[in-house]
Amino acid sequence: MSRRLEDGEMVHSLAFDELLKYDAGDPGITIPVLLKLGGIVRDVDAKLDSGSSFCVFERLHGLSLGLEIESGHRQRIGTATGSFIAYGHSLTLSVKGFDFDVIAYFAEDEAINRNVLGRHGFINRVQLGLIDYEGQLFLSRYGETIR
Amino acid sequence: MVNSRLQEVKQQLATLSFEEKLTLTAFLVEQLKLDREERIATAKSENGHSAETHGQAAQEEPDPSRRREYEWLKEHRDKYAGQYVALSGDQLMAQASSLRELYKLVNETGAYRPLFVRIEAKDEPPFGGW
Repeated sequence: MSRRLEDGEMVHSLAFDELLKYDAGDPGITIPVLLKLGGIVRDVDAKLDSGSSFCVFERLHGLSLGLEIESGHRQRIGTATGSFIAYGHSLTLSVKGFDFDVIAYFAEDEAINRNVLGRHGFINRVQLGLIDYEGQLFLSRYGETIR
Repeated sequence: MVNSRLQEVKQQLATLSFEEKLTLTAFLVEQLKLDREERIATAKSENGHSAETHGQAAQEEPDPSRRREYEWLKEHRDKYAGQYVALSGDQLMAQASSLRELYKLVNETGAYRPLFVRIEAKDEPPFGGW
């Protein structure tokens, strides 16, 4: 919501459904994520990364969901120093009780040991507020709430 | 007779690759859930109440915020730096140097939906994004 004050200045405010607290002393903004597929649920922690185009997870998490990793949508993902291959699969990604049907990517290489929440599949599905100094992440599903 | 057939199946399964075992595990978990639902439904229809009242308490859903797990991590991060850990509440269910090994240990312990975490090593450079 935006409104103009008497002195002409604009102010903006947002409302959120959920507050997720994280350890601000942690190396990244790390939050718990559920990966759900066919009745199997995997609970992993993942780093929020607005610089990542996709949500990418470690290969073994995909295997543990029963996925055949290489049968998914092949995607080369660029990094600062090169690239790696990941495969996209449809599943449900859940954060703080919000479920999203997404394409999540699983790294081809087992040595890639990062779980990342990027734009497509997470950031573009939610409304986010961040006070990193206090380790607070405010969250709503995009298109809902705003009371 | 049944036991010898089970032994035979077990011996055959032991020869599967890690990936095949994971796929099989997922299949069996799904089957167990279906069996459990059927048992509960049967118990309800026969006794008028759930099988869970007969000592089969439903496993508690983890707190979506994983508050206790992250408190544990804050306290023990240094001790387990560079390790993978599986946490249920403030309990360490398993630790390993690789995710592959951790999954193996978690499957052995039968822990219900632990949180899988890789704790960064002390000398590891900070993650700069992809």
